[in-house]
Amino acid sequence: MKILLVSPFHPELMKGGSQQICYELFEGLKDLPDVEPILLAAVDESCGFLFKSGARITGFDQRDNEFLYLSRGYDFIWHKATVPVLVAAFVEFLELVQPDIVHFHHFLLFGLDLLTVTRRTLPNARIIFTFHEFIAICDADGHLVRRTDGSLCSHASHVRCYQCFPDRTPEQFFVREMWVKRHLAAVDIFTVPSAFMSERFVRWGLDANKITHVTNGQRDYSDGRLVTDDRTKRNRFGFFGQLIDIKGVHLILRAVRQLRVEGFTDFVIEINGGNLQYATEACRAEIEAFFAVEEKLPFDQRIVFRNGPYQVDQLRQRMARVDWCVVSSIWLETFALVISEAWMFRKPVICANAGAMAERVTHEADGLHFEIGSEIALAQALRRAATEPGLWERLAANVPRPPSRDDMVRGFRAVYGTEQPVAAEKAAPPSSAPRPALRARGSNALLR
Amino acid sequence: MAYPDIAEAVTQGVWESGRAHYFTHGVREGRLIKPEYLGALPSRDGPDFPLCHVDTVLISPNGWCLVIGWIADTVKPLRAIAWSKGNEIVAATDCIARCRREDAEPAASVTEGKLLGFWTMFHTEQPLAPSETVRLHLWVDNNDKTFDVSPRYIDDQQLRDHACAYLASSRYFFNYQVEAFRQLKGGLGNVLSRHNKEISTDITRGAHVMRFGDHARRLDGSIIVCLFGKPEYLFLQAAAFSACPGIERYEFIYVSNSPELAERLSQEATMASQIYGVDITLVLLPGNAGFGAANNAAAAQARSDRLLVVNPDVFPRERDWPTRHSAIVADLPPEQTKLFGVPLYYDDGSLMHAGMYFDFDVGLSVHAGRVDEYDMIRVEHYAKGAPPATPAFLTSRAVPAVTGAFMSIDRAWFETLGGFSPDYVFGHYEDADLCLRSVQHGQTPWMHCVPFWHLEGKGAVRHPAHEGGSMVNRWRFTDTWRDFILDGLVGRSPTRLVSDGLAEPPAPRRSGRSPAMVRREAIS
Repeated sequence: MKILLVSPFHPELMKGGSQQICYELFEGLKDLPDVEPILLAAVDESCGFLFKSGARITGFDQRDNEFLYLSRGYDFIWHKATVPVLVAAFVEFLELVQPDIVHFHHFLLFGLDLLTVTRRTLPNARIIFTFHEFIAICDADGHLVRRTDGSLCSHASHVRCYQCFPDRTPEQFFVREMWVKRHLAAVDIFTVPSAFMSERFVRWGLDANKITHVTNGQRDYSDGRLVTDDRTKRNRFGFFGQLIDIKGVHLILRAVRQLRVEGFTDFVIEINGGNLQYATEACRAEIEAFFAVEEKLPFDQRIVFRNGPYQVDQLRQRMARVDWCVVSSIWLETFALVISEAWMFRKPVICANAGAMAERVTHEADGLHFEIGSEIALAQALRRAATEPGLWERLAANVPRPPSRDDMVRGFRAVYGTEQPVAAEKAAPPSSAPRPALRARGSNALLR
Repeated sequence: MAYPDIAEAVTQGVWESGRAHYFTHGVREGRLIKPEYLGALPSRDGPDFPLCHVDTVLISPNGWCLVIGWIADTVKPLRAIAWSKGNEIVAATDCIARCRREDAEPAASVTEGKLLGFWTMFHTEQPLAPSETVRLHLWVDNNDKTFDVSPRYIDDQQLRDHACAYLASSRYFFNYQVEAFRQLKGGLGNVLSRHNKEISTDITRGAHVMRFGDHARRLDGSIIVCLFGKPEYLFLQAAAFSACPGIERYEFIYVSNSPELAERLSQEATMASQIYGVDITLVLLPGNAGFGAANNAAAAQARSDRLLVVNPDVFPRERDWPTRHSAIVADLPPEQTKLFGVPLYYDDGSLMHAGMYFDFDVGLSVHAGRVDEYDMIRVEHYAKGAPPATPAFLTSRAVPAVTGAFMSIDRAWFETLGGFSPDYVFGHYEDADLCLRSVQHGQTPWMHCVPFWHLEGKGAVRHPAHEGGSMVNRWRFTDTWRDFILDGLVGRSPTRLVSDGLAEPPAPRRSGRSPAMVRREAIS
């Protein structure tokens, strides 16, 4: 069976969860004797050094079955291709490869319309689409965070979306929804890495019967070699991730400020990650202002340390320096790979009480929750974690084994129809999901 | 001597005097503004000529001229504007619009209520070269003032845009629409309309046609969409319409009034054809010919006997619309299908359109010691904002008119009617005009229930010049159709349709004639 994996970016060229998971799946499928995976990863002009004259699709670094789609002129408003020869090249590639399954991990840099052209080119192929965020629903980077006040968005509507983008019109969002759904209609099965996502997409109008939960999985970066110590104080916290607004590192810094005001300073926080340049100006200014002061303090008075960006092979070393992982995201997250990475190293997680974070981390069982977006709640959680005797030991003892790459591969094989489900499970609509009639109305309202 | 023929006739006793001839024929013939008459008047440039200024003179290669200025003509009015080459008057006009010029009022020391601004457009058969100096003449009574001006040379489309934008931005002391009507009625409306028609004709003559798809199928209909400024609606519509079963029996004809989008549209049509498998014909125009002329050019490319004139911001609301539409055309009596519309919905879910009817606004203008009434036709939509499932609006029935946002028309009937009128500037009112011509020729438009979405006003960009064009069109529409509509086509329940047994619309909110009409009749 030939499976074409369509990835936004290549993880070796641009970091990101979608491409990382897609590549893990590609690697996992390569181990199967009855499957021939082919990777088509998009790159944009930021990787211009890989562009070849007249080429639209090329190989990648002499690797078998890895190809690059040289995207250009991508329309980020409508998420569509704008260059006819690129569409023609994509179609030709499909005709040459003749995959049995085309598994999209995003439409970014390809275009939503390439879902439809895939269906038209390969009428008998199965098309799978994995959602890694909510950009199909939400144009605010798919985060479901309202740009008006930073609050979580309960649901999209044309007027509510307009409120986030006052330079557009409500009608534009009406058309956007119609456009996105038009192309998602070409998909046979959608997969989501967290169960709560199903409810959001069903409420938006997708058919619940077409949505399946398949966990993300990674190889174990610890290689089974864990650093243990018998310290009694468990007051070292680590943040792992990008230093952008949505990841909430500024929330941690505010919590530190709060604890200092309260006179509690017996803890350390290590910030691991980069891409501060992609944060908003306000967020970047807040973070830089904090460190401008922090880094001038005498060493014994410092609480927060910046370690810079890291690669996965550095995780072991960085995780060894902390007791807890803090996931301070101010959006729902759709899986939060960092939780898996923390668990690989047996670190309990302190995270926001919403979305994928709350779904994966069980409060008081294997980690702690705090109210999403609240630096006060985070400060309380940090103080408790650093001071409560036996808490760390109790929670660390219950840290689950993170889903492995094999778990994920088994889950997708079930979706592909080549194996019975193991890790995959049909996402039952949560009790809060709309009734079928309401869902039908949602989907029919645009195009019956 | 300006008119030796008249002098001779007076000498021969055919006419008692030149004055007698003038009031019998000369007024109609415009003799007092004919170049030979104005040229025969002594040039004075006297110090007693009213304070005045010429701000703008624009000329086009085809001999059109736009003049904008102001004059404190408080005693006798500005009556003619002309220009001369050498010592010869080569063009003149008395179609002069007036407007308020607040900037000139202090300098002119005029009393409030005087419209100091003037502007006009006129044509000469002797166009100027860009390097030529124009001598412009303003006449008050038989006195003139001359200006040596260096006009700006621009193409006719730009000249039209300038004129329309100036009309749209003009200010008055009373209701701007009424005042604009009064100015257009003075002759400038016809001039603007004629100029626009020349432009549209030139543009459509330069149409470039590209076809995408297999074009071998037998078709039930040709979907004609006029694009202006927003290319994205091509792929958005192609995506939405192509999801509907039966669409393979329809073709798309996109006609573009935006030359700058030509390459983009060509690329989008290439991709849409490949991605959605739809047949697309692109009609690329080298300028903005306006809605009517562009749709006519597109209709000429149709390969079916049924034209569906559709706005770019119209989208299917129900997937089976192609088969339903085809069935309506095939199964219903021809008189119900020759020209019909469909219910349109706003994106908010409410009804936007279920046919159109006509009503009148009566505007009052106080001018030169008189109060004048101006009828202005208002085109209204049935059902605007109504609950989506209102049965009365979803049943098949005859209506006075349907919107050009979605209009299904038998091609032969469209051609019999001469297509959309090219008399309208840019867009607005062509749809109602076509429907009224259909009624005039014995075929009332119908509504049939094949609902669509319509994001009214979102499918094209809109510039200030378009507002001026709409004013011209409303005046033109009123001028053309006032009497016809008054004869039983006024209001939500037009008596003519009801008496013909064609319509029994929802309970009327008011009588068939507007209150203003009734009141005026009572007085008379």
